[in-house]
Amino acid sequence: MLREDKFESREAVAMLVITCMAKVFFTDANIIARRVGTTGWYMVLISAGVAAVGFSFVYTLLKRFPGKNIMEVYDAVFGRYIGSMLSFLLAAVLLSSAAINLREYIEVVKIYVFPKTQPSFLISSFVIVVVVLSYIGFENIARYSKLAAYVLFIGFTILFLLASYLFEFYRLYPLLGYGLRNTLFQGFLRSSIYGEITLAAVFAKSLNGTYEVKKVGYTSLVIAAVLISLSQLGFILIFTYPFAQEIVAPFYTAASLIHFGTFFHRIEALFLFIWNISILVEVPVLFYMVLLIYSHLFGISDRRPIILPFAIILMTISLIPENIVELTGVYIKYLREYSWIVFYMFPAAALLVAVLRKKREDKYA
Amino acid sequence: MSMLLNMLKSIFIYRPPETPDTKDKFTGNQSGHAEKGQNQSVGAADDVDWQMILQKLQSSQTDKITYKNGDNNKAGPNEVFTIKKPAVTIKKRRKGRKGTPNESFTGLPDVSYAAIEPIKNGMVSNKLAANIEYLKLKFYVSKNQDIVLREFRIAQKIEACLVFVDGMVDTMVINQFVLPQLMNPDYFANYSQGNIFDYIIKNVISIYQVTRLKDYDTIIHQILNGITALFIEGFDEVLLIESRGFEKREIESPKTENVIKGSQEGFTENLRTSLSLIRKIVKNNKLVSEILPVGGKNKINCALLYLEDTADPQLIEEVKRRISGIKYDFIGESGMLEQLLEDHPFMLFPQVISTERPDRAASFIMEGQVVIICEGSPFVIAVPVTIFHLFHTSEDSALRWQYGTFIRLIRLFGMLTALMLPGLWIALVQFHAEMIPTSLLMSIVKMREPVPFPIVIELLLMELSFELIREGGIRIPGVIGQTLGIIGALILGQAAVAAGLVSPILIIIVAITGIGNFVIPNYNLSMAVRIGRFLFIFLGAVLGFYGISIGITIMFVMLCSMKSFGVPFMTPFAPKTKKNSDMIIRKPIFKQPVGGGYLKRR
Repeated sequence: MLREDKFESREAVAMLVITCMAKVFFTDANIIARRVGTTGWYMVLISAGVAAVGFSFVYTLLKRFPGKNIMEVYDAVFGRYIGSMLSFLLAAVLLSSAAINLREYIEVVKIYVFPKTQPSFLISSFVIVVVVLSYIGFENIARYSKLAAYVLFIGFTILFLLASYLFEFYRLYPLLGYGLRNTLFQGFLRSSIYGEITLAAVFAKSLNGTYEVKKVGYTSLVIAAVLISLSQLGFILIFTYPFAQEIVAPFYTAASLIHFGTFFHRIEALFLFIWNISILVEVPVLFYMVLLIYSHLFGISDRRPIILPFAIILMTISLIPENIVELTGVYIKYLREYSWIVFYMFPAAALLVAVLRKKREDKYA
Repeated sequence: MSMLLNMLKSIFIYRPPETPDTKDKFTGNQSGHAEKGQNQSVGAADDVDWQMILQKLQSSQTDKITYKNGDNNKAGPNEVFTIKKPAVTIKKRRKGRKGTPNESFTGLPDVSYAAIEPIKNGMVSNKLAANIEYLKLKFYVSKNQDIVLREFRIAQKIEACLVFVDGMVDTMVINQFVLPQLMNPDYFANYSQGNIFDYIIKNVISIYQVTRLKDYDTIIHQILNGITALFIEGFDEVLLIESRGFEKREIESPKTENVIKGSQEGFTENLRTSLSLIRKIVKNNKLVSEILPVGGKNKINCALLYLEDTADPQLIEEVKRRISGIKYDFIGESGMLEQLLEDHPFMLFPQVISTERPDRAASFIMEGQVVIICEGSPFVIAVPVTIFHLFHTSEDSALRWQYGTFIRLIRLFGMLTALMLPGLWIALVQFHAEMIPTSLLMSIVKMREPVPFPIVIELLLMELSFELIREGGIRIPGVIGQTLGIIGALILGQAAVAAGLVSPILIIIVAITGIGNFVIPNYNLSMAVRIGRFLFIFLGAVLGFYGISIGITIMFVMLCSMKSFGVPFMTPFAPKTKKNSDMIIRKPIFKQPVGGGYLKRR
């Protein structure tokens, strides 16, 4: 039997923040601009508020069952069959997220860097990395996340500062965008962008107790919300909102506008490292979570034999969308707008049932 | 031809497998106890022809009787030197074995069996002749020219024998401080009854280090180490006399770890010299040095050094466990030992640190690491290590903190350059040309115009040439090697550009990469970087910056997964352990505590 991966809370926070942040570097900013116009920067804060409530359900549920992860809690509350079904749905959403995020990244990279390369080649190369990292282990991905987080934060700050001369504050107007009600509604719907925070409940056993799950969850949420809000703010300060709706990869485009003297220009390729590394953390983390849930569902003690089959499934799913239009118009739309049901509502329902049926587990039982 | 014959014999002639019973028949011993004892002894009783020893003993006994008969009149009985104790021992053994199959064995006197019995169990016999015959067989004395068995009489009365390896001992010690004293009866004037070894140690031999031992394994190992063994008739013990005196190299400056400011002493191949160099720096009573033999067949000595109250006891146990678990037959030097000790043999990065500087080794000991000194190598190993250790030099601490920090940052930059510059260059030119300023891009394109190869071939051509020059420079002796390296690189580069095989800018890239590699203070790490560079070239050539990102991610996740003797390689950063500022930035020395509390095993 494999030993449970153990890592510290900082590593978990870094991993979750990167996992949340990786999406916003690509088409997400564009979609937000389409939905809420100029109010994207505070819409993501509203989403964070909703996610905080959602995570509170998760945390309260875990508190009732100390020492258990979310899959075990589902089993304890709903019984083995319904519990397994809920866990399976969570795994399915995570696997779809991993595949769709991977495809989104590949599409963006293909547009800007590899226009003549087949997506399948790029996806294959990525899937190989996912397999290698999964073999090396989750603990080490978490450790690497902490290292990467510093580099990504520095890169993000440099990008923000370098692009700051392009900021025009009049672009924030109208402050209420398409209307406050619309912003609130979209904010609620798009709370799924922080859905990865609830992964803390999946790898709860790798952390030191339920309190650390709470600490990791809320800290990650706050950091991710601030960074996503800042990135949305920067984006809307650089591009007018009608123009912002047309850009596929807004941050890449923003980086390409940076121009200092004859020699310091077109540095967007340098910032490719930020997007690359963030996505190289995000997808393996989501993928490993799927392995974790699946191995729990079927009582598999060694996860290594299932890495390769799942990698093939990951690759297959990521190849389903025909093009970027279909990808953003269908898959990303539904995943980012409705996955909150799986991330927050399942735990909420479990909590409700646990309270009604007075199910809880004594800490020292 | 004979080999062929042997092969045919082995195929066609059936030989039954050798069972314990057949062995007993061969040796004339059918006692189960003896067999058990034989198995227990680790190496003393293996491949020894006991029958031959018995025959020799028999013949020597006959000789002795004849000799004694003739000698009695000359020497006369001397009450002082009568050794009664062994006679009693033999009697007891006879009594104990009454009725055993030994007695019924054809023709041979029972005393011979009693004499070789302890030897079979790996212990020294009280019969000198048995011991001598056993050693002669064990050391192949008939063929071996440098094994000396010097038989003599202590105080002209008691039979004794000195055993040593010629060339490994200081002959002056034997000629002036051992043999004259032992042979002179005046030194034994006050000896009456009791253990003669006690008397010799206290009154006769003026050697600073002597040990009494009974176990043959250790005795043989010590004889091979250059110690002289004294066997005495009637005693089942051996006195090991310190007499090592083989040739050794003088202390010189380290060859691979030169510093401007700092000690200029380097380790030598001699274990004792190396130990003394560390003792000279760490004058602490808690500094422990344990000597362990290593290597299945050559049994080289290696010393473990650690501070008793600072090093993690679990770590010490783990190091001992790994060393004693080595089954590899030949350990020539520390480089081989480190390969057998490391945690991840298939990883590119080194997991132990080797140094030829005593001051550096001393600093490792003070930090709580275990230092392993291997006989025959001027490089000592320190474990566990983190990646940050591989960046450090002893000069970092000798310099003021600002300078130390500066050179460490330069080193880090050098390493990153050596590892990634060619890969980044190829990615930049092939996939991200828009990043290059237009004027520079024009210049690059112009320079590359006459080059017929794709850039990746051009780069690999130059990198391989550089590696060839580098390797050739090391192999060619002395100053010529260095000159060849410099001239070779210059001429080859110039000629390659003139011939239109490579572009001038690539020469610059390869040269900077090479210099960056020389900045890395650890040779093993620089080798890892040299190999890693080719992987990054491949990734950059195939997938541009995306490929480089893949390389970085896999490399760092692997680094995070690595452990050195249970300590994560990225400690104290990932995972975070006890605070230690001595990673890349050096703090003022008074703010930098000595101690390796951060090196926690996981």
